[in-house]
Amino acid sequence: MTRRLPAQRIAEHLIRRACRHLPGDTRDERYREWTAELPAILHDHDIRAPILGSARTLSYAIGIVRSTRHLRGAADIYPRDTRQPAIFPRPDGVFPAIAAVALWFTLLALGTAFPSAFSSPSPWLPLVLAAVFVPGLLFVIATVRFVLWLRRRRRRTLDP
Amino acid sequence: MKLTGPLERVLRVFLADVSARRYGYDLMKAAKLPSGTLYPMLARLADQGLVTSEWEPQPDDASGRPPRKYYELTGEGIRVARLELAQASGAGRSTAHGTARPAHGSAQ
Repeated sequence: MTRRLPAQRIAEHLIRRACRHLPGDTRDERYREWTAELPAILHDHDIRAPILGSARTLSYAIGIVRSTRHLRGAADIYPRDTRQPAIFPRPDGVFPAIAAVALWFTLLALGTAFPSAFSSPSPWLPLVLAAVFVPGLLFVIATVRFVLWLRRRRRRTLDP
Repeated sequence: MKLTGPLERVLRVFLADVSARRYGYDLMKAAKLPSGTLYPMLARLADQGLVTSEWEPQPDDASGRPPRKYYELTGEGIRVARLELAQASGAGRSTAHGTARPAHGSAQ
């Protein structure tokens, strides 16, 4: 039983990643507890086909990911006084904003390279307009997420 | 303690043999619950002092498997579990016989 099967390795990896979200004092214990169950699942005599054992092992690991979300919520494992403050906290909405800017630059480059596509009788015009709409939408999403992030930060500061 | 269906199943498994210690996968199989439901429930029961857990000593068999964590009901847990299950089955019986349960604060 010492040889670890691929399903067990994947499950261990998932459990390890899930446990990273738990507080430091329980993280290692939970990881040991949950991974200790894996051999029992993989070598369960009630499961005839090995593929089903592997499937159940992975299902167990996915359930553990859900468990850590529940446990994290119940224990408030990110209390403000113990969370390591980031030096440069990354605000929400950064990635949509970057994507929007990148798209706009791409469109600008395309417009410079193929000016006829952007002129009025061009058959590509609907596609171009749709492409212009996407960065706009991304900017709206980025703005909304950024404003919500700011509000959360402000509430956190006001409510020690 | 709000007695949900999964919680009832777990309590029944524990009460089937109160002296038996159960590890997670054993409980999952017996109560037919997924790990994502079972472990948060065990954590809540442990927080309420109804369940206790302890690590088994390093197994001395040749399998090389790591030690497991075992769970069992505390004395208070046994008392509360029996009470809750009795109330649940009593409520089930009165519902089955068409007897309406008295409202809280109503005259008996």
